[in-house]
Amino acid sequence: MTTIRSGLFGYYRWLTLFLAAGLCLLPLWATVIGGFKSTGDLRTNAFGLPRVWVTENYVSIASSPRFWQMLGNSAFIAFFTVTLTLLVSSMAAFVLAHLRFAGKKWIANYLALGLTFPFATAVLPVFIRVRDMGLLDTYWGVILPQVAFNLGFAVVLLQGFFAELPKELFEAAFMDGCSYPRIFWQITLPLSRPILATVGVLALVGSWNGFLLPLVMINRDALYPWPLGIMQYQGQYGTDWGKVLAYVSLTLAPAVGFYLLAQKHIIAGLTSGAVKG
Amino acid sequence: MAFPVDPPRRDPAHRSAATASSPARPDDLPDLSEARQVEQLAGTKPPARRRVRAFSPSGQLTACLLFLPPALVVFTMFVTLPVLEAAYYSFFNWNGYGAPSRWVNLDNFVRLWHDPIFHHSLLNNLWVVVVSAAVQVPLALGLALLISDKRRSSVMFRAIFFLPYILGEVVAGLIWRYMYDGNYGVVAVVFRWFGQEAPQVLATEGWAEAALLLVVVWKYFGFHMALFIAGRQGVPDDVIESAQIDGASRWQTTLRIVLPLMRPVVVLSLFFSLLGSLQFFDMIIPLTGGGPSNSTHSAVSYLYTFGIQRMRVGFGSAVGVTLFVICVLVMMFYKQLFMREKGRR
Repeated sequence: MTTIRSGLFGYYRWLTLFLAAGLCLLPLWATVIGGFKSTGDLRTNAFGLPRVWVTENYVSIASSPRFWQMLGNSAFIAFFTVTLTLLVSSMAAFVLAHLRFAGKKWIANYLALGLTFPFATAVLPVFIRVRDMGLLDTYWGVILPQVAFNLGFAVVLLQGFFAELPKELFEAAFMDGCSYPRIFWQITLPLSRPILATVGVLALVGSWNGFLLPLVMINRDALYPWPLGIMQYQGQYGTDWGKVLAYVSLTLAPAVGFYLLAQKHIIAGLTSGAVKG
Repeated sequence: MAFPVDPPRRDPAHRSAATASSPARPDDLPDLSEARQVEQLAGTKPPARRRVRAFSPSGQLTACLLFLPPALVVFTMFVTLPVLEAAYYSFFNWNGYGAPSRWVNLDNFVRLWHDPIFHHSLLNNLWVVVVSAAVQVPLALGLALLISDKRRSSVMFRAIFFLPYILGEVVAGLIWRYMYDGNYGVVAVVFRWFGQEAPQVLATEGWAEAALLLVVVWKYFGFHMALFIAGRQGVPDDVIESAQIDGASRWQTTLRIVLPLMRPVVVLSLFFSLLGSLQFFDMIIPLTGGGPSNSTHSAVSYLYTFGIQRMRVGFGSAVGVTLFVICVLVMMFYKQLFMREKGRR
């Protein structure tokens, strides 16, 4: 790009950007640093470095099995939500993109209905259904509805991508006697990594951060994913902010770490997924 | 620094983001069957007979029977049927145990219609949209235009601005609850600078709603900024260059060329604000729990508090159905009004 950068504009540009970045990061800074402070320090010195570094909050949380169990619960739920979303939706999208049969358009539109309304509108009947199936207080009571509500955007995204793959490949595979399931597994899926990553990231972030669904479906402490666990912890310690902030910081760590590792793909995935969905 | 150096456009996923939102892209991909007919007419493909054998009907049937049912079953069980059931339950007074038997006609809806708390919740939802349009879009758009190039510093700022979006809503809510705490957080510090005693922002009606909206902007502006960056990168460089050759200033180029071309992205961004507002819930619970005196509820947190928590399945379903209808109407209306040129699939 050939933008001519006058001195004054450049100066204001930097000023704006640094100011915005500061405001953006300030709460996070205050949180992480707050976990190292004593209560008195927190009261008088919210943003500076701690006068005395208190590591007790972080250490006690990081060494409690409850904390790790909670992250493990979230990881379990997220793993199966992502895997099942990818598997089920790519199978459906494959058929919808590559085969011709009566009612195909109907099915595609039917699944795309999932895009039109938020999960909350149906949360009570889903709760009743999950309860009647005996899945209350199980991981699957969270995973299955999450997968179901992901299907709308996942199928739309995948179907669009699959339809763009070169048809010559499939025809050649057919000539060689390749069956549909094998084409799906050995040709379509390997060629579709970018879109699978996009859908996967969308499903992962949604599941990892999900709150309403586990809140409704899970009552047993041992099964709490972290958003529930953190609310419980906060309820327990109230405004003992040093503890709560340390807890918050530690639960942030996996997400932020993952984000820093794959930042470019995550931003691209979340926005392009949103754009197409 | 862990930030990647190379220009983001080289990444295929990112390019799809950039092109997807560019106004020039035809959104409707050619139908498979249509494309095949064209190929046949042009004689570029093997004759039909061979392909009929290749795409054998029996193989197709097996594939359909194997691949479609999982999606259809899961979707029907956990999406379609629950929505229909919500419509059914909404006519009952039911606590969720046994079969629903106390048919109350439209009582649930009538009660909802007359509940000032529900009105206030919907008003809060509306405020989210208003603030998105009036504050968030200009902010995100302005920042996006400053950092849509490929310099290393721009990539870094992008990563920073996007960071709040990936944090869990619950965590964002708790962080800001601390920030707003009149004894500890940022509010306390600012007020002490002026020698004042800090108010409890989240416990004061009026202030609490405003505080909530500020967190919404903090949390979501980065997402909208990323949309705008993708949109800005979809504006062809040669158009801008030719404008500059014709002597257009930076302001003129931005106002007359770039922004008009980015209109579809702004429309899309507001669409997401609408959608997000209608499901706004997670952040409210850790921040205010809907208080003080139920002034910070959204439609969904209202549903949670008055339907789910008290196991009033009938009433809660009525809220869900109302929300569903609002959703569908808003989406249809918005698409009709602003997104017609986009030609959805």
